[in-house]
Amino acid sequence: MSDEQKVKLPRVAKGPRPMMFDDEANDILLSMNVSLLNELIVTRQRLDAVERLLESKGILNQSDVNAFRPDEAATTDREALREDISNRVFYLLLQQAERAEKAIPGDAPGDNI
Amino acid sequence: MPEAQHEHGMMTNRSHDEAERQNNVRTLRQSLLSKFAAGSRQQFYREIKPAYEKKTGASLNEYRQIRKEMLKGTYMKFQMGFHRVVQELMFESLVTPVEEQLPDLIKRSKNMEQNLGTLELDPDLELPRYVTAVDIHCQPGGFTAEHCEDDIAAGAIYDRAIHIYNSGSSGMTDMAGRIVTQYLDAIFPNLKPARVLDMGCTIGQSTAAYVNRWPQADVYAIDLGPALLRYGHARAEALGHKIHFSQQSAEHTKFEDGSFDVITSNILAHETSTKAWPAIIKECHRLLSPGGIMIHADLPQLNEVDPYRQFIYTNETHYNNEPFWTKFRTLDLKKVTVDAGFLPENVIRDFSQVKGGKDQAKIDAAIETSRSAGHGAPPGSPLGMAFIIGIKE
Repeated sequence: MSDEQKVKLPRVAKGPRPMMFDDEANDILLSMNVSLLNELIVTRQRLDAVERLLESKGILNQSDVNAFRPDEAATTDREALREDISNRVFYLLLQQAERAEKAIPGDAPGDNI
Repeated sequence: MPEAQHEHGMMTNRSHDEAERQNNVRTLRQSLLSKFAAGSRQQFYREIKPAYEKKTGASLNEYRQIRKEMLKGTYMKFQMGFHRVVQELMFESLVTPVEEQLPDLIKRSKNMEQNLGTLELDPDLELPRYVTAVDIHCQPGGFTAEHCEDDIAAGAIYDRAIHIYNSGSSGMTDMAGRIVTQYLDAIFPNLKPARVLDMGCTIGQSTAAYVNRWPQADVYAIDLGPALLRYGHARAEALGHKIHFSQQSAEHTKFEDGSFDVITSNILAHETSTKAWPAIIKECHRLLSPGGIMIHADLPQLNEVDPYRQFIYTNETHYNNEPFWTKFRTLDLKKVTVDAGFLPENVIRDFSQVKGGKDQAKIDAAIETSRSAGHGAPPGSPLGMAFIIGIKE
C-alpha cells in the first residue's frame, strides 16, 4: 500500500478542548512537559532494555532491542522506574499534597508554584 | 503491579517504544493522577472548605461552588490539566500503531472468522446525536466513525485503551461484566438465563463475562459503532467466545417482545441523552421475558456521593467530552424505570460494594456513609459500581 492510499486516522477529538489556566500558554507548557516526561521514560526504558540485553548477550543488536519484552522481575523494576521519574517531575505538586495531608504550614493551597 | 493485558489474535502489535509509551500513560493515570486526586481531596476538606466557611459563614457543599473555590488555586488546575493531557497522550500512543497496521488488522479480522458467533451491520441505521456530536472520552474519530472499507480502527484503539484507562482492569478486560455477574449471583442465585442481551457493548469485552458465566445461554450484543462491532466480532472469534453482534440502537431494537431473560449495559447510560435513556428502559421492558432482569451499571448518582466527589464527577462533563454526564447523574433513576413500565416493587437501586438487594435499609445506610465521606476517602467510589435493576412482572 503506497503512502497515498494509507488511511489517515484523526488525532484530534471532536469537542471543546478546555484550557485550565487564565493564560493558555500554561496549558501548552503543561502538555509539553507531560509529553516530554513520557518520551523521557520511553527513552530510559529503551536504554534499560539495551543494558539488559548487553548484560545477557554481550552483543548489541537493534532487532533484539525491538523484540525485547521484560520478564516479570524486569517488569516490576521498570514499573518502579516509571513511578520514580514521574514523581520527580511532579515533585512540587506532590509536596503540596503532602503538606495538606500532614497539615504542614507553608504554601497556601495551590499558590506560589 | 497491574496484570498484563491478554494478547489475543486481534491485538495491534507494538514495538518496544510503542508498548512503553502506552504503559507509561497507564502509570501516569493509575499512580500519579490518583496521588494528585487524593491530595486535592485533602486540600478541600482540610483547608479550602474550612477557610471558606470561616470567611463566609455559609457551608461549602454545592458542587458548582466547590468547583469555583477549587479552581482559584493552581493545584487543581494542574491536576485537571494533567488529566486531560494524559487522556490525549493515551490516544496518541494508541492511534499511531493502529494507523500503521490498519490494512493488516483488517485482513486479520477477516481471517479470524470461525462462525462461532455472528455479525450484522446496518449501514442505514441513523446515528443519534449523542454519539456523533462530540468524540466521547476524547477518542479521536469517536465510537462510530469509519475511515475506510471494513474499518476496525475504533475497536482496535478502544481495546488497548480499556486496559490503560481502568485501574481495576484484568488481563481479559472483562472486569465490568464480572462485577455484574458477581452481583447477580449474590442477589438472584437461581438465575439461569437462556438469552442475554448486552446493550452498548463496544467491542464486547464485558459481554465475554456473560458468555463465560452462562455458557448455556445465547448471548447478543448491540452497539451503534460499525468499526467497534467488526473488531468485537473478530476479537470474540479469536477468543472463542460465541457472541451475536449487531448494529442497533438500544432505544429501538429489532428483537421481538420478551426475547431476553437478562439485559445488561455497562457505563452506557451516561453516554445517552435525556430522551434516549427513558426510551432504552422502555425498550428493555418490552424485550424482557416474564421474570426477566435488566441491570444497568454506571457510577453512582450525585446525591449518592459526598460533595467533593460530586465536583470531581461533574468535571467529566467539562473535560472529557461527556455532555450528558452531569445531567444523567441528577436523574431519579427509579422514577424513570417505573415510568417506563416496571412495577415499583420490581425496581432496585443497588451497588456492587453493597449488594443489599431487597434490603433497602442496608442500601440506604451505605449511601449515607458514601455521602458523608471526608478528607481521607479513596479516589474510587466506596459504593463501587451503581446498578439500576428492573424485574419484568
